[in-house]
Amino acid sequence: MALLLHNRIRVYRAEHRLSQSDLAAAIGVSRKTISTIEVGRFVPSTVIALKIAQYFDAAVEDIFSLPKKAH
Amino acid sequence: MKNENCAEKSDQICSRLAWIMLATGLLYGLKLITGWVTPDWQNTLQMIITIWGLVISLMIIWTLAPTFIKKIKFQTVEHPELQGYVTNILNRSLVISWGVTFVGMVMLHAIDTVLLSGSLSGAAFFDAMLALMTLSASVTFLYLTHSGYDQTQDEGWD
Repeated sequence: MALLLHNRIRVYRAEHRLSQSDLAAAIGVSRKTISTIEVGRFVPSTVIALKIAQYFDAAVEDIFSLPKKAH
Repeated sequence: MKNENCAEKSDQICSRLAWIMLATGLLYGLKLITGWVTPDWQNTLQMIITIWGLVISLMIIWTLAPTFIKKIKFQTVEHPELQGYVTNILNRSLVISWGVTFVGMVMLHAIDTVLLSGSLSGAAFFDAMLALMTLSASVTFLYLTHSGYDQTQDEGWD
């Protein structure tokens, strides 16, 4: 399945040594939500994307990006 | 480990509601079948339906009672995770269920008109509609949220 939205949550989690459950609890969502965002199955709402970015003290664009078009 | 994340509890309630919908769908399916079997089987099915109805009532109490007790005891309300994956899938399942029910009812009406000469009662249509609606919604939800479906496992970094 083609990803609708690329993300670097896993990288940021690794840098901060956080598990999916820790991140989920920190931003008030379930682990399943984080897990499905990470694998690109679920496109998060703007609020969740902003909460994730705020938690990692990064810009939303650093964590989420649109896939590049193939020409 | 006891999980205190409210979003996890909210997801858990959604999952339990899906199982209740599945049980309700099976109940209405059985009710629908009751009209087509011999009287002996009708009595047996009626007994199963009564017991199954009690089981569903207990499932509803088991799912919703803790929330109500907590609300009364601590005057707090657990807000569902409205933007999470599970809520999203629940909404999607309900949308799919509406479509399936609509198509199913049209097909049932056509079968009733062409093959059964309009012998199906209104009650049978009602049971079929509820069975289709709850079964399709619950099966879709449970399929899309079951563990391991396109998901990575949680891993610690320590």
